[in-house]
Amino acid sequence: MLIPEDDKLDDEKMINIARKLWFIGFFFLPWVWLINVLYFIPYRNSLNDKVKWYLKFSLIGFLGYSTIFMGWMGIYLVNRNKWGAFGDDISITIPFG
Amino acid sequence: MTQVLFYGCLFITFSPILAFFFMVIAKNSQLVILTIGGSFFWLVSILISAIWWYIIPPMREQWWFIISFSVLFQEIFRYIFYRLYSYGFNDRPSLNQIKETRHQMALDSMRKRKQQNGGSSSNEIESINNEINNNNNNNNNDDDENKEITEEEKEKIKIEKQKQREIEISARLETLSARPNHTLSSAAIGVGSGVAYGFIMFGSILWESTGPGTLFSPACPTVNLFMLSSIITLFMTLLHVVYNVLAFQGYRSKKYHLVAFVIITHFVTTYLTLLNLPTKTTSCFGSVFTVGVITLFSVGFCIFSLLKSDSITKIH
Amino acid sequence: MKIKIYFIVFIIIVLSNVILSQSSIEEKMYVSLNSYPCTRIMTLNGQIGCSSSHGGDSGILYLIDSDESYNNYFSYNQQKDIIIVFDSNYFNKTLLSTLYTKKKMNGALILTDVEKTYPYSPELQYPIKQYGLYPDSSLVWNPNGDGFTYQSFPFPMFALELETSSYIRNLSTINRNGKYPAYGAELDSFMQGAINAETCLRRGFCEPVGGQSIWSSFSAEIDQSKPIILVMLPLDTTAFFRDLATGTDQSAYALVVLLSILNSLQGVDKTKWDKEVIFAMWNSERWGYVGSTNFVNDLLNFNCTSLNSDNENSCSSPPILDLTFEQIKFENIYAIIEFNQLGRPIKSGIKTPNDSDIYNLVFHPNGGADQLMNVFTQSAQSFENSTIQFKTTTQKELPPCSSMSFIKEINKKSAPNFIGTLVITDHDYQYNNQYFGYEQDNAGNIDTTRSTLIDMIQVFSTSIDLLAGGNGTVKVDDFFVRDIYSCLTSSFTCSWVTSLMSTYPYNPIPNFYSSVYGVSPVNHISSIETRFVYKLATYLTQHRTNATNCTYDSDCDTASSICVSKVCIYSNTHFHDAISLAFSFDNSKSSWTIVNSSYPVFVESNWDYTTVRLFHVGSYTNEIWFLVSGLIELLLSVGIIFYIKKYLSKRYKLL
Repeated sequence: MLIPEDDKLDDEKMINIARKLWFIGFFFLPWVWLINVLYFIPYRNSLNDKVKWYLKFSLIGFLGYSTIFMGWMGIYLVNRNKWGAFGDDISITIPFG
Repeated sequence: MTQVLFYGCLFITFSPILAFFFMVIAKNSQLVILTIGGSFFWLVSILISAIWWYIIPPMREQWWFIISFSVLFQEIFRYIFYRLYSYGFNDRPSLNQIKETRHQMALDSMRKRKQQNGGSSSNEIESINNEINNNNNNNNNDDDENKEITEEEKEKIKIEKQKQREIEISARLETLSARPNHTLSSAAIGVGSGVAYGFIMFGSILWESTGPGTLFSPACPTVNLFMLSSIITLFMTLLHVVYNVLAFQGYRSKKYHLVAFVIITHFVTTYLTLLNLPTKTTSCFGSVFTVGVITLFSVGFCIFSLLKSDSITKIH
Repeated sequence: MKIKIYFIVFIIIVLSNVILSQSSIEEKMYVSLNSYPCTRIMTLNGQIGCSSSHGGDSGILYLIDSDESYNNYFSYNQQKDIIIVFDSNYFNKTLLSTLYTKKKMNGALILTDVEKTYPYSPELQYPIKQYGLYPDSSLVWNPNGDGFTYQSFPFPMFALELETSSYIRNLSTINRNGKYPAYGAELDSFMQGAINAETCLRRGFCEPVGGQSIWSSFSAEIDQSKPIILVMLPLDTTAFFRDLATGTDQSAYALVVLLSILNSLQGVDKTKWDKEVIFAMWNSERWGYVGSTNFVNDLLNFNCTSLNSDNENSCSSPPILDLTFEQIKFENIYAIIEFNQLGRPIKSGIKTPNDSDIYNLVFHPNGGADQLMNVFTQSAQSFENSTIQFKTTTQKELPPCSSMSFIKEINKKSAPNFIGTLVITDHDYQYNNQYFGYEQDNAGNIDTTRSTLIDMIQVFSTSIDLLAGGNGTVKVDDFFVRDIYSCLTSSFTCSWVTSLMSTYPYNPIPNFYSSVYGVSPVNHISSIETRFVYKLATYLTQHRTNATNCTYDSDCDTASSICVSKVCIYSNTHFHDAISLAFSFDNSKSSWTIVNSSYPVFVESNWDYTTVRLFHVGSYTNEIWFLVSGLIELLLSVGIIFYIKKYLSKRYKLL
C-alpha cells in the first residue's frame, strides 16, 4: 500500500465492475445492486453510458426486488398464523409463543 | 426501563476517554498501536495479580493485601512498557523533526545548486519549491502538462516524474517510521490501560444494569451502585491516562518525584475504593469525593508539569 | 511442553474464577423465590391460563390486601411497571378482571400466608358438564365456582409458598411509603404454545393433558366367568396453580379411603369370593373423564393388530404397553361403587352411644342400586359406635363422577349382570367442599375426625367383602391409615414414599394434577404421586413375592412387579393410558393430532423454566437525570477536546 495505486478507474474497469455486480444481483441479491449504485457515486461525473445503463437497471432491480421481498414479508408475518398448517410448513423456524 | 440506566452509566464512564481516543488517537496509526499495547500490558499485570490472588488462598479475603500487590504489578508493568517503548522509539526522530530536517535539506540543496550554477534559472528554483510543497502535501497535482512538448522534453518529464515518485515514497516511509511525540504516546498508552480497566472492572457490572433490578450497597443505601461505580470508573480511567503521562515523563527525564507521585496517588485512590465495602461504618461519598478531588488535582499537576517540561514544543 | 500445558490449565482456572465472580453480582442483585406458576393450557378454540412475555415481566411490587389498597391502585401513579401482590382474599375472578381491564399490570404474585375467608372455587359451576352424562343439566353442583381457571390472562401469575409470602408481604408494605430503593420482582413463565390446541400440537410446542390410570385386583388372574365389582375413584385434582393441586376433599381423601380398603382387604380370606373386585383410580378425570372413558373404550373396542414380538403382553399397533385389561370383560361388570368427595360430610345431629357425632354420607344411586345400598347400610349399622350413617340423595342426576363414562356405555349396550352404580359422597346436592378446585382444598379443608375415617374404611371394606362373597370380617390398620393420610394430604415426604420410591419428591406438597400424557404413546410422563399410588397399590395387592436381590423394578421379570427392599413383589396391578380419545399419534410427523374433537381437547404448553426473582428498584427520575448528565458529559468532552486541539495546534507542535 505504500506505492500509490492509480486512483482513477478507467472506463474498462468501471464497466467490468458494474457488469459483474449487475449479474450477481440476479441471484436474489438486491443489496448487491444497491452496492453497485453506491459504489459509483464518487465517480458520478465521469461515467460513460454503458456503465450508466448497468447502474440504472441495478437501481430498478433493487427497488423491484425489495418491494417484492418486503411485501411478501409483510403478508407472511401478518397471515402466518391464519394460514395454519401451510403457514408452518413454509416457515423454517417457528417462534415460540 | 433500565436501558436508561445502562446508557447513562455508559456515557458517564466512557465518554471522555472514548472521545479522546476517537478524536486524537485514532488519527494516528502508531498511537492506536500504542493504545493496544497499553491495554495488553495492563491486562497482563492484572492477570499476574489474579494468579497471585489465586495461589495464596489465606489472603483471598484480605483486600488490602491483594490491592497493594495489584498496584505494585501495574507499576512494574508500566516500567517494563516504558523500557520497551524507549527501546523502540527513543532513537527515532519525531514527525516534526523529520519535517524540519527535510525542509533544511531541501534548502541546503537549493543553496548548493545556486552556488554551482551561479546565475540560477527561475525554473529550477520553482521546481525545488514544488518539490518541497509536494513533500509536505504528499499530493502531486501534475496534471497541468504542457500540450506542446517535444519528444526530448517528454523524456525529461518522465525522468522527473520517476524522481519525484521516489522522493515521495521515501518521504512516506520516513513519515511512517517517525514516532508521535512522547506526551501523546504516553497518553495513548494510558488510554489503553484506562479503557481496559473500564471494561474489565466495570463492564461486567454495567452489563448487569440492563436487567430490571439495581443494586444498592449498604455503605450507600440510597445511591445506585451502578451510578456510583460508573463515576469512580470515570475518575479511574482519567487517572490511568494521567498516571501514564506523568510516569513516562518522569522516567524519560529522570524526574523521579513524578514517578513517586504516581505510585503514591495510585495506592491512595485504590485504597479509597475500599470505603465502598459493605461495612456500614464507611460511606461511599467519602470515596467518590476524595477520588474526584485527587483526579482533578492530578490532571492539573500533569498539565503543569507538561508545560514545564521539554516534551512539547512551542511554536514561536 | 508439560509446563506450558500446566500454565494454560492454570490460566483457565484463574479466568474461570474471574467469570464466576462476575455472576456473583447477579447473585447479589436478584433473589430467586420458591414459586408456583400459572401455566397455559390450550383448548380447541383458544387458550386458558397465563404466560409471561419472552424473558419475563418485571415491575415494582404493589400490595393489595384491603379494599382501600385495591381502590387506590387505580389512582396509583408510578413511572415503572407494576407487579401486583395479592392477598389471597383479594385474588378472585371479579376483582382481577376489573383490575386488569381498567389499568395495566405486568404480573401478579399471590400470597398464601393468609387463607381465604370466604368460600371460593375457580372451577365451573357444573364441572365438565359437556363430557358428562347430562350435558343439558341445569343443576349447579359447585355454586362457588366462577370459572377462573378457564380464563386466559396476558400476564404471568405466580403463587408463593408460605414463608416467602410473609416476606413479600413485608417488602411490598415497605414499598407503600413511595421511597427508593423500592422492591420489584421479575416473573418469568414464558409458555411456548399459543393460539389453540391444533396449532400448538402441530408445532410441537404442546402435549395432551393426560396421565396413567391405575387398576388393581387381589386375584393373580381375572377369572372371566366371575362377575366384576368395580370400586373406583377419580385420582386427579385441579387448582388454579396446578403445582398446588392437593385437592384433599376433591380426591385425596377418597384415595386414602380406597388405599386403606386395599390394606384392610389384604388380610381377608378371599377363597370364598365368588366375584372379582377391581379397584380403579382414573387419572385426568377433571379434564373430561379422560381416564375412565379411555378404559371403557379399550374394554369395548380395543383390537390389537400386531402383538409386540418381545413381550406377549403388549401391543405394538395400536401401541399399548400392558394388555392385561383384556381379561376384563365389559359384560361381566356386576356393580360399580365410586368414592367421590368424602372429606366434608355433614353432621346428622345424632350422637353415638359414646357421645361422638354421627356424619351423613350420601348415596347417589343409578340404575337401581338397591342391593348395593342395602349392603352398605347394613354394614354401617352392624358396627356399634359407628360414626357414619348413609342417606340417599334427593337428586335424580348423578353428581359429576367417573361412573358416568361406564353408565353411558352400559345404557347403550346391555350388561346382563349389571345391578347398578353407587356413588358415595359427602354432599346431597351442592358441594360441601367450599374450595373445589382451589389451592385451599388441602388438609385444612377436611371436616371429619380420624375415627370417622376409620369407620368409613371399616364399613366400606366390610361391604365390599360381603358383596364379593366373603363373610365381612375385616380389620382396619389404624397406623397405616394415619401414615397414608398425612402422606397424601399434608406432606408427601413420608416414610411410605421413601421406602417405595427410589426418587425423592421435589415438591413436598402432594399434587395430583394429572399433568401431560407424554411425547408419544410409548413415552409416558407420570408424576411421582401417580407412580407412588401405583407402587403402593401393587404392594397392598401382592399375591407372590420373590427374593431376588433386585435393585430396580426392571430387575423383576414381569411388567407389573415392583422391587421393594431387594424383594420382587408380584401383583395384578396395572397402569392404563389416560389420554383423551380426541388425540391420535401421527407416527410420520411424530406428533399428536386431533382426530375427534367431540372428546375433550386440552393440551398443555411446554416451557423451559419458570422463575420469580426479587430485586431493588431505583428511582426512575434519577436514572433519567443520570442519562442526561452522561449525554452532556459526552458533548462537553467532545467540545473540549475539539477546542483544545485547535488551540494547541496553533501554539504547540502536536505529533
